[in-house]
Amino acid sequence: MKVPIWIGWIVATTVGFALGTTLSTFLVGATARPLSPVLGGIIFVLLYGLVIGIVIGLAQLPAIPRGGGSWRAWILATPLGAAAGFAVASVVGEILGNTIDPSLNVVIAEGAIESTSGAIVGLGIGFAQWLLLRRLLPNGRWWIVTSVVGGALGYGAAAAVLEVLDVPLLKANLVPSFGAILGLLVGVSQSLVLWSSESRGAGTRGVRLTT
Amino acid sequence: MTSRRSFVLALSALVSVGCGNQTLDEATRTTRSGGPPVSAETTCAPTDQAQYVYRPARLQVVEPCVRVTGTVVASSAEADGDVHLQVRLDAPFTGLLTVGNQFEDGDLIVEPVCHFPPLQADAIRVCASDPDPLDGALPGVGEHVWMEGRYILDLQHHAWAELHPLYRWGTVNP
Repeated sequence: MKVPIWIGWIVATTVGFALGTTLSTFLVGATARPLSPVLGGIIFVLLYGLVIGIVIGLAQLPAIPRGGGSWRAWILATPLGAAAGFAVASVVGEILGNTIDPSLNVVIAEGAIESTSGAIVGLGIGFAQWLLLRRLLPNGRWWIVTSVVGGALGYGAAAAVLEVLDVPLLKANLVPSFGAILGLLVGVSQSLVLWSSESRGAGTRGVRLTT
Repeated sequence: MTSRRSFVLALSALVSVGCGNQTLDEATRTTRSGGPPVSAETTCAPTDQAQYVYRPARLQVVEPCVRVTGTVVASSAEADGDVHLQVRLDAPFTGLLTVGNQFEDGDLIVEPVCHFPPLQADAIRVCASDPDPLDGALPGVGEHVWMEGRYILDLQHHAWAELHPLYRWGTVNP
């Protein structure tokens, strides 16, 4: 039985975000401290997003719809989009954090900050990937929209689950849990576009890459 | 609110003066902050870590540096890159606690900041710009330790008392 491509996409995206955040947190965190003073930490953040994006891109490779462009372009575009997304999100998140009244309910305040920042991360990744998928998917513009929505919901949900719910298993595996929740929501949201295209038979069947 | 704050300030000042004498005289320490061993004459001095606290307005600073002793009873990583330590304070220091600390089992919260790159968006850049977060291992659960850090009230979390950031720590020899 053939697994629908949208299911494969959700799994790949969830795994990619979980592994990507984990690898980047420990790899970049352990090696990139000398870059901290450069441009107020922005270079560090770009590197952080770049590593996450590379892993996400690699994890998604087997699930990319046939005709989704070359795998080299995918491996290049996803990290660049993630790096840009994280860099902008970190600045916007910080500005929002310093603007919102600290006495405001923590769930509302954090929810607003994290969801907005997550939407920006989703925008970065979604836009970069849309550049490669737009010729393949008739409803390709929705890729950007669903990425933004998925990023917003994912970032908000991940922060909320780990802050509000005291689940020992998740707390003990904080970084991969955060990444998995974020990736799951992004994957589910993006998969709606694949599911829609697949329903129309618009060339998304199969899991082959153009090389 | 003002009177409560004044009370906390006065109490903390009294306790911190007292605690300095008590812990420094009674305990021989090994530093774990990566710096030189703390001598008996050392006074509590802030490091640069306070400038890497994200959303600083959520923390009301009571004292720039306070030294306490206690036993670590819980430790967990947080999405903002900090580590959340719960410390059961020794008797001379329990006056530092507020009503809000009851939400944390009556323990003092101690947070070394930027211990790893944060996932929480509003903390990412601030921590990324921190070139020298407190390095080395943090105390494990069950360890009896002295700790120095900025004494604050967390306005987002029931105004409970914390040392945030943690500047340095060491074991207290019996």
